[in-house]
Amino acid sequence: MGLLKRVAEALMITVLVILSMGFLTAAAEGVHLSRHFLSYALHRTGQYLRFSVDIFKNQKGWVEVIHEGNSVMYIPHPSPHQIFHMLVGTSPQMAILNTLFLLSVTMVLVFTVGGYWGLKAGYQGGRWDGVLAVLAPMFSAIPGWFWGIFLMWALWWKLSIVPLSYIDYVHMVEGTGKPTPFTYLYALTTPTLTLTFANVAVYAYNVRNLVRNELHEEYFLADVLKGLPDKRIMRKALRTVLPPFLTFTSYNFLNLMMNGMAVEVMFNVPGIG
Amino acid sequence: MYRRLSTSLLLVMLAFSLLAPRLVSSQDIRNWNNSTYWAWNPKGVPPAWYGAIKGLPDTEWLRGHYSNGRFVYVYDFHYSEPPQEIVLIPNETCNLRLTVIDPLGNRYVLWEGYIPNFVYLSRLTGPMMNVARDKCRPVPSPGTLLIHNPLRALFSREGVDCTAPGNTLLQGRYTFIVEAVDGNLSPTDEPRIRVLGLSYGLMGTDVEGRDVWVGFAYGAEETVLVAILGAAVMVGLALLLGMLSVLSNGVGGVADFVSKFLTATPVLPASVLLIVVFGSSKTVSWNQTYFTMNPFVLALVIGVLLMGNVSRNVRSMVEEELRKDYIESSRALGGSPLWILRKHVSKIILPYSLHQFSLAVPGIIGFITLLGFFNVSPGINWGTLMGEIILSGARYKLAWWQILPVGISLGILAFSFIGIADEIKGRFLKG
Repeated sequence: MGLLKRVAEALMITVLVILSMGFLTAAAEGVHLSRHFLSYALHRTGQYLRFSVDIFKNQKGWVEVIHEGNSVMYIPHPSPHQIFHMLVGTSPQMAILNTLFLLSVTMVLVFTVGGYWGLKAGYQGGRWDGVLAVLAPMFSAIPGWFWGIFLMWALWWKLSIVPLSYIDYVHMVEGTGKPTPFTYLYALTTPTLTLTFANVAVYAYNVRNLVRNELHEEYFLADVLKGLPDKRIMRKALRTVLPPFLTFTSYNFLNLMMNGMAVEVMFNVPGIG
Repeated sequence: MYRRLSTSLLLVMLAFSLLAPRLVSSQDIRNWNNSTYWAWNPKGVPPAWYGAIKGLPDTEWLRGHYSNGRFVYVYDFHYSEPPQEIVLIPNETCNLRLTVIDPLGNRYVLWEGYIPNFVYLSRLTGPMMNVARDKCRPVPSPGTLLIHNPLRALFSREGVDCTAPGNTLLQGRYTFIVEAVDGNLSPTDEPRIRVLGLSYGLMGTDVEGRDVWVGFAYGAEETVLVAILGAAVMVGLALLLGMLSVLSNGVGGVADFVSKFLTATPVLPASVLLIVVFGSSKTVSWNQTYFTMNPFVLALVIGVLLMGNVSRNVRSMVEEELRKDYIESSRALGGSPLWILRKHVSKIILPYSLHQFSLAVPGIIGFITLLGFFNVSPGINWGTLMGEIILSGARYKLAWWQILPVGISLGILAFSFIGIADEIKGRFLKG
């Protein structure tokens, strides 16, 4: 019963969120509040939903032909899929894939580098910890896009080792040959590094704090007294701090996604942003 | 040390945000989105101090003096690049002649005839080609000259390639003489000559020629105001909803539902829509629409939309606290739920709220700049400036004078608030 109630509540919230976003969109289109607003906004929400589903259907639009006297007028009516393609420059499936790919590669880098750095700083302290203690507040303070501009300056303007615009680079490769997975990966270098730069110190600091808390636990002391090698103790500490770290990650995912949208706009990545 | 540094930086930034808007002209602010108002500024140039270091011409009005029925202006040219533009603005519509005498004494007549409004010298292809034929070797074609700034020919040494970069310019005093074609000018007819240099003011200009300092200084107050008010709304409402949502009565149920609903709402699209709904817009070109919105309403919108996660955190903290023994004792002694929340739980939640407030201020500033990326940051704030940088393509030109001040100020402000948050965490929230 408890589970059913929770599912029903989650469904209700989802429906309400969709409805409220639909109503807001209708209001943003210029529909004024009146006694007809509710029914009109509801109708529009239905249309937005249908449009959102239809953009995934690879349908072709149609052309309306109007004959008037000796002249003929052609009015194109593109399908939702074509409208999306015209506006974003790629299919909706690819747009979602692009965003997911960008975020996944970023998360892998952040987890690997941040996890190792945080573990080392938390367990061994010293220089690793000192650098992290200075960088973490700085990195969490500076907005993600700022790193984008910095990397743009360093890697594109000064060194010319990465492409600036994702879509332009992919189109250029498509014009001269067949793009490989490496093409897309290379085109995403700067956006990925931007998001990684913006997040890695913050994530590492979180791991460091969690590991520091674990150092006071009895099992940890027992492991040290048993004379276990450092690497084994660190592996164990990592296993213990993983669940709270994943909770932190899930809380921060929306934040990462919002920053990801801005980074997509900056580097012309046709994704959700 | 860190605490002192962050507090000092915060005080400096707050003082700046309060004082700086008073330092800029209200006329500049009223005309911020009026491109004709900024027509006499060079487009997209760095600050004057940078120009002084790099030897770039500054932007200036030339001072004229009246002599024998004509006006004479002297331009002391000692730079490594010619100016972006020179504009002659007559005082009245009359038949004028503009002659330039270079440091070697060569005379060139650049204009002779009626000037309805003003004359941009670089657009005078014919006279500039005459100058080029006289000075430049090889003589460039009109097209090549136009691409490489025709004023380069005017300020060039003799016998050099006027389109080639490098040390080809003739430095010294250039004299501009404005006289009437028929008769004399009277002392009240003084025309004006504006040199649009390659550097301008304290912080340079954007692609519209707007003074970046004006937008930056004026935007500081609104940015900080929206961030602090938004954070206060966010934390206040999150505190209220989070605490009420643990109550087992109807009020608790509603508070819990609202809190969950706000957590599930996509913040960025919802903010964009709410700004369009509650703000007013003005479209100036096919890709540029300016939004205006009362900063208090903007703070309310952002605060409400961002409160979801914090309210859930408050709720779980309150629930954890309510399970403790001393709360059970209070309950057994007859304490009502509201009394327990007020008397015991609020003591735990208050430092957490202050911590969240300190984190929320930089978070909201960052969020406002994110809105700028999608061209919906309303008013004149640092978010709007960022949006315009992105839309105008200044990121590709790496117009650092537009990007760095906003980025560094955001960083300093955020750094100081996070320092305070860490202090609160260290003092009250450990263990």
